[in-house]
Amino acid sequence: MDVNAQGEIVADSVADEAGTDLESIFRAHYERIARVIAKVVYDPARAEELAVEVFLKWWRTPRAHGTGAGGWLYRAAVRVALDELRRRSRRERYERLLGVLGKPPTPEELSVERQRQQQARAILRALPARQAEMVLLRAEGLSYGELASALELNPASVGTLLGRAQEAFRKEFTKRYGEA
Amino acid sequence: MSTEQWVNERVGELRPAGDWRPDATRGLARLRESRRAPGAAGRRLRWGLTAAATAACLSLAVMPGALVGFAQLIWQNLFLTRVEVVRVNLDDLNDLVPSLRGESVGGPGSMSGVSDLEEFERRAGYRPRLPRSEVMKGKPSFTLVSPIRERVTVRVGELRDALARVGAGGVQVPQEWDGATLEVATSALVFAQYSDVQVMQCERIALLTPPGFQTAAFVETVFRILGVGETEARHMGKRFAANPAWFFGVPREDAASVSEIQVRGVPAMLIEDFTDGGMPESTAVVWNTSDRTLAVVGKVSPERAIEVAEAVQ
Repeated sequence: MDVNAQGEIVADSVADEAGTDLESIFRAHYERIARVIAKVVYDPARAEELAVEVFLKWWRTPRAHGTGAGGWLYRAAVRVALDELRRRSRRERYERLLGVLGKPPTPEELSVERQRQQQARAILRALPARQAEMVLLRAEGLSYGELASALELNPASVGTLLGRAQEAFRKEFTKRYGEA
Repeated sequence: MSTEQWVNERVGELRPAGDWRPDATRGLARLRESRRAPGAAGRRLRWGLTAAATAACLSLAVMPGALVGFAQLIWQNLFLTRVEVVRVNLDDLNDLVPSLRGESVGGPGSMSGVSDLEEFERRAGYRPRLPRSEVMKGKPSFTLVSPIRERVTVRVGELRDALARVGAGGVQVPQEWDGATLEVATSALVFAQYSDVQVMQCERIALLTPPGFQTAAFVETVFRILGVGETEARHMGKRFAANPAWFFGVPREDAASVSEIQVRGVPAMLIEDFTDGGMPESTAVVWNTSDRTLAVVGKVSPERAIEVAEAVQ
């Protein structure tokens, strides 16, 4: 899996060229990996930390080296991001309930755009992890084949599983916020 | 519009905060630093919280915040004397029933450091119970959170809408609930931070509801909205009315193991959280005594958390 200048996935070649060289892999994929994490966690500093963690994990996982490195990194990025989203969601709930760290929302947080993003994050956080991963990766532009490779799925099952995941997302979203 | 387009449109709206751009140079420096000290870096990254955030988050992660989670919705001069773990996400109520978001009465509780037990006792009005020193490493640092009082106002229309949206039938929401205010009041809370765990406690939480408020039916309604089945929700309401509980919400989608254990002869809940990858994340033991609710939480094994809980005197 490779990316063009716009960060779009275009081929499965970077890992071949880079082999198991951590820094080469890092340079080739870091921006894309950090960006997808940042979209989910909405915390740039934490996204950068988690992105580095993804690469270190890849480095320590020999079976992830080779041609599938790009897909593995992408899957790991989405996984750590969703994990962080859940962890933070728990934390924020407790903080808010206690009121200790409570603060009024900022104008930016009240914007329609930000609220719609928060709604999407809430649904991703509520879905089973595998379904959330599929929805996210698909929205990032992965093809069925790339999804199957990244998530280690039977290619013949991807369409069905993705359809279920997207239906689950839409159903949960509609339940909470309507079809808007 | 197909479901795929509809979903991709919404998920595609996600953006990083502000005008942030990944800084590969800074990332590479961080990567190199982490490689030089992989163990320490790994820990730092995994548990990458500041000290202050750790104090706040870990402490709030199990004790009053979580336990109050549901308690804040219900009051009637009740004292909660047991803990009940429920596999629901109490946070979902924020979306489903916005009026049930708690509002601080008299401002949010303030957090401050306390130098020793005597100062804590003077300011909080009770003396914290701590584990025996021989099972702990070093002395703890104390954080005191002032008493908290939170209020919600029931809106019948929102409850009915939420029930309809989630498809929960057969639930009657009495019109007389509309406008009812429910409050929860806690004592001061103390967090004792040791090197590996945090011990948290408060005196029992008081719940205040309007006279005659149908607590059982309200609990049933809220849990139906949160996705609990009809029979179970009804039982939960009845159990609450008979013996009020602090409900500890563990979302169904979270990788967590919940089991009942005994701590010094009284029932306690052992909650083990895992990452989505199945790695242990944190362990908590929560229990009530006759005059206190306590929790031990940390990134430790269940055996260690239980050992600390057993040592609290």
